[in-house]
Amino acid sequence: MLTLANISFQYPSGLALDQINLTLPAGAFVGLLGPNGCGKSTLLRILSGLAQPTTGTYQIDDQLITAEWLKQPQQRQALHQKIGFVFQNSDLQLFNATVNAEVAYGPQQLGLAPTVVAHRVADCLALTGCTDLKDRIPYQLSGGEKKRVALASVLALNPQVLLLDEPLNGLTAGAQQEMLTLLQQLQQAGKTIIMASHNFQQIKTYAQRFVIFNADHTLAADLTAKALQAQPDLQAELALL
Amino acid sequence: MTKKTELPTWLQQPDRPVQPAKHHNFLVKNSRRLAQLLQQLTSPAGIGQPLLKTTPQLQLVALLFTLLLILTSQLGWQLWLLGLYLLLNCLSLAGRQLRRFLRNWLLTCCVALPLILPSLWVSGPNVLLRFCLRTWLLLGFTQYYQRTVALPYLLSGLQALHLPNVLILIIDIACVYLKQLTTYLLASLEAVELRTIAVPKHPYRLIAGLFGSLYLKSQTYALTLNEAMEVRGFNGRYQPTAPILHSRWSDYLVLLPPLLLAVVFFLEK
Ligand SMILES: Nc1ncnc2c1ncn2[C@@H]1O[C@H](COP(=O)(O)OP(=O)(O)OP(=O)(O)O)[C@@H](O)[C@H]1O
Ligand SMILES: [Mg+2]
Repeated sequence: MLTLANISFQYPSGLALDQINLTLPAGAFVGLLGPNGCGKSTLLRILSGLAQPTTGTYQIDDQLITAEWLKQPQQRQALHQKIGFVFQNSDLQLFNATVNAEVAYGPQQLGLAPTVVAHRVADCLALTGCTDLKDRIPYQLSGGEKKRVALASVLALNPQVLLLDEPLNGLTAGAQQEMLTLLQQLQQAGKTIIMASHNFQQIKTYAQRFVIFNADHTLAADLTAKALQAQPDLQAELALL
Repeated sequence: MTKKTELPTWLQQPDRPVQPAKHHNFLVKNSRRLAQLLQQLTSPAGIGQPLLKTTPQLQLVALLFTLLLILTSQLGWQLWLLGLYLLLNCLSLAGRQLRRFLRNWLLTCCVALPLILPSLWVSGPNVLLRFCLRTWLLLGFTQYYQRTVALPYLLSGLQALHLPNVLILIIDIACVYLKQLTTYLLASLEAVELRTIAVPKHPYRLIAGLFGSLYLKSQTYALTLNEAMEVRGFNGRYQPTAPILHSRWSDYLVLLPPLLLAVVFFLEK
């Protein structure tokens, strides 16, 4: 369970998150929605441990995640094993020479045997439809292909919590459906999926919970899919995001 | 996405936690350094206060004048006076800035040493000593300037001194470019950090790979930047945009110490 209490985040240029209180239960499929610049990516950075809130506390299960706690390499690495993060800009995330090496990087880090690594890589490439790309150079892939390779490379670490920053961007409608189905399968297998998206229409049948931000970086609503169904006005508003 | 596959069993159950390595800080350290560089490139915050508050253009003139003095000083007492002046300047730096200044200065001095040493055989120890002192002073003053002037202000200084636009353009683009690349590298390091659970087996191979991909990306970035400027009508004419800070009389005080030194040196001759 991820618990955020009174979280605010300040960039030198201004506020990105204002007094956010949230509890995200383990095993949920959560959609983060809101206008551009409302702070979705920033929230995901905090959840992943890459950034620390300016004020407020962040807790995973019973463990408070603070800058001090993250200074310990063991603890930081344990956090990274538990939480995977697909960046909004996949270009930044791919740093190996081939797609195959990219996906293998994580499992190699886990110290798995080479055959197991190869197995995992093949599985992840197949799940994301990237098997044909395996010898390509990541930085030369198309935008949508990069997105899928980035997901495969994070998936290979088998994280319990998956943070995804607009993973559907640049994918065709069909590929979006397939990725959402995959995420749903992962969630049914017990993983927590937290996904920022602008695509309410696509995700509304998959996410079980919606966290909605205002343009002024405050929390607008935090409600279940069922509760959202009872609010057609809000749905119409979200469809425009 | 084309294939639908059932989830493999390993994905359906959590991995056992790996025993992470104890000493694995190089990513964190490098990220911190990059963040510092980025700060220096983008904002004056985190930059030290110079001894005498002034405009960037006058600070640049004072620096150039001081460097000229160092280059023309031959005598021990002259170098000693210049050293005192540098020391005085450094005292204005806050603790953290001072430490950073000293570390970088020492580092550059050490790097310069092997280049200077051969003169020992050519012209003897006395000349070598003077040569060393002068090089270290030059490095010290430049380092001090770097510590106290943020890059955006350097641009505005150059502009106020009416330097050719082409030169400013080159520096401006270099700044933009460096900023982008630093941001890029910082984010890439974060990505590496997120997927580096245990100690990297081959940290240097990792770094090499990172720089390889950075090189490829930066090449693409440079070309794209060029195209982006072109499609928006860039035709080689450049109008600098950094705000010019006008100097008041009190800003000229920064020229006083090197001028005084010059007068003293001249009179003693
Ligand atoms: N590195 C940064 N430095 C300064 N300000 C930033 C930085 N990153 C984001 N911001 C600002 O913080 C606010 C929140 O940004 P964030 O990227 O979290 O928004 P977002 O909800 O993910 O937007 P989008 O939907 O466009 O991806 C924005 O106003 C943005 O301009
Ligand atoms: Mg975002």
